[in-house]
Amino acid sequence: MSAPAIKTVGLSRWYGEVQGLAGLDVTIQHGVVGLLGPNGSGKSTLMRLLTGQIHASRGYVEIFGERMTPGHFKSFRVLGHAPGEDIHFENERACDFLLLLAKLGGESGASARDRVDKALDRIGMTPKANVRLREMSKGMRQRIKVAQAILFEPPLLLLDEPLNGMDPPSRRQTLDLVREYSNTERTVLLASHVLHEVDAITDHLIMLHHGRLLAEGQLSDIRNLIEQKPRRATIRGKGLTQIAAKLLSEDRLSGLTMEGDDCLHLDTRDLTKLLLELQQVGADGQIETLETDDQKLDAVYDMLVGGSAR
Amino acid sequence: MNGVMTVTAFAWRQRVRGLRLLAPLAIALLPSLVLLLGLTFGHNPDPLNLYRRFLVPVSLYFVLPFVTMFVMLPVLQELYSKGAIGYFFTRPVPRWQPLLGLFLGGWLATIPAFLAAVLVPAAMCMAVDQAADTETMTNLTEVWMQTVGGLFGVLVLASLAYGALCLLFGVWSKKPILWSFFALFIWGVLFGTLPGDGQMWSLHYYLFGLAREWCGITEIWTGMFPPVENPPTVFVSLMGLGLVMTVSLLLAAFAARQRDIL
Repeated sequence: MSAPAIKTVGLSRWYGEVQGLAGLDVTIQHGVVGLLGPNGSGKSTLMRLLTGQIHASRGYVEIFGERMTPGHFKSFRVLGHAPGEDIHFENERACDFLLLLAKLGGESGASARDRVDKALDRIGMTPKANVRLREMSKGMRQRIKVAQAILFEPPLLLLDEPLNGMDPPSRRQTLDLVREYSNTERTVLLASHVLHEVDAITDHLIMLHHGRLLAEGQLSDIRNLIEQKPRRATIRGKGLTQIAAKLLSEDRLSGLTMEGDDCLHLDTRDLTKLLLELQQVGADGQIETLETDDQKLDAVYDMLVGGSAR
Repeated sequence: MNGVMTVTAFAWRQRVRGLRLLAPLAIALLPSLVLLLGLTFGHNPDPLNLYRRFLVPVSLYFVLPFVTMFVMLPVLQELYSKGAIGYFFTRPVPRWQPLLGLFLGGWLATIPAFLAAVLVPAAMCMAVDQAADTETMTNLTEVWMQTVGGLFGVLVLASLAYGALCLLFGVWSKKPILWSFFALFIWGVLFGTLPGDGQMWSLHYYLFGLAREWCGITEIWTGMFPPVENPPTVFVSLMGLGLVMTVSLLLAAFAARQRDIL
């Protein structure tokens, strides 16, 4: 298929006065793409728009070139979705729940059962096939949600916070499944607010904040993007006001925040030079501790959203 | 249609499993309690007459709308309120298919309550309605069979139309209980029994067309909500009920495309 797996153009959604998503323009081809953002950033709104569960206030979505709107059902032949909310089919056994959805998807009899067995096997839940969903842990139900999304092995998989509540082995198994999917020219959009989960599986990110696109691309590209943004060093010790005055006079800082008498946050566009300067001015022991933000994904995200998002 | 049947089975399981049938059964059996009092303490009660003049109208006024609401409304409301309807609406089938399955499953789940509503009081009445000779007894049994079967038929057919209305409100509104109460009880029962030409715009008008023909009722015991004087024919009644059901289902399918799943 030559059309991108997902294309959104000016996609916006308002909930009354509240902005859920604002003018989102993204194009996703294949591979695993991480959709990052804190709670309320618009991830689930985007997922619902991608699956036609809600109407867009403006803009549109295309799935493999087909316009997705509420009621449009043909795209679900190429799209599997594991929503963020719990399953809520408490009284159903896992196999019956999956069988229901397999049959609703057009399969019948033995072929539906075959699909259910395969999906359960892939997520390692075959021994729990006859357990009712209400008797399962949240992590197990999460895996069943993933199983229903991969029932038809669609070329596009949308997973909304799939690792929530999973124990470490289940996480590993689910992440392996996602990796396996991405190795077969399929597309997986994995939404999460837990950054290291996404960091562990993909380098391709879409970051949302307050319904807006904060950044998109490779993690390394995003890092480059923020190279020009201030970095922060935090020092603790005594006589910090003298150090602050000296650094300000030498125009090394883009920002400075005092936290009490013994803590100083220093913002700079050139962290390396600042650290050298601090080595000199703190040589007489005034600085007791020095911390800098790191370049891990958490730090990148915090920096992009101004530290207010989490 | 494989998907429709699967969802039908799911919805039916959901509504009859565990203690969920208790409330509809309690509603269905409430008139039986009153009937029992009438049979026990009434002055020379005629059981068949009591069944026709009390139980048939009460079943149409009270049992039908409330059992239908109790069974049909949660079918959709639970799925929508929890966002679980999304599992059905993100499949490669048009939304009317799972909706139809939910409707049929809910409708089938009303049948045990309606069976209880007609059979339990009939058993009570027949136990005291003994004829002197065999021939009279045979004729009486035939009349009883016709009355009980007729009432069951009216309830089951009417619940198709009433259930479709509940389904429509379940999809279209976030307050389906309020709308259903208005449509089934206010518009149906009350408006449908007010004298005048306006009766024919109420769904209840058509139920009495069937009840008069199939159960033989022409008057009621309490004097309240007297049955319509000129009920429609069976054909017109069936057409009326069928039309309401079809239009409601079509509107529900349309509404399902419009309503956001949040």
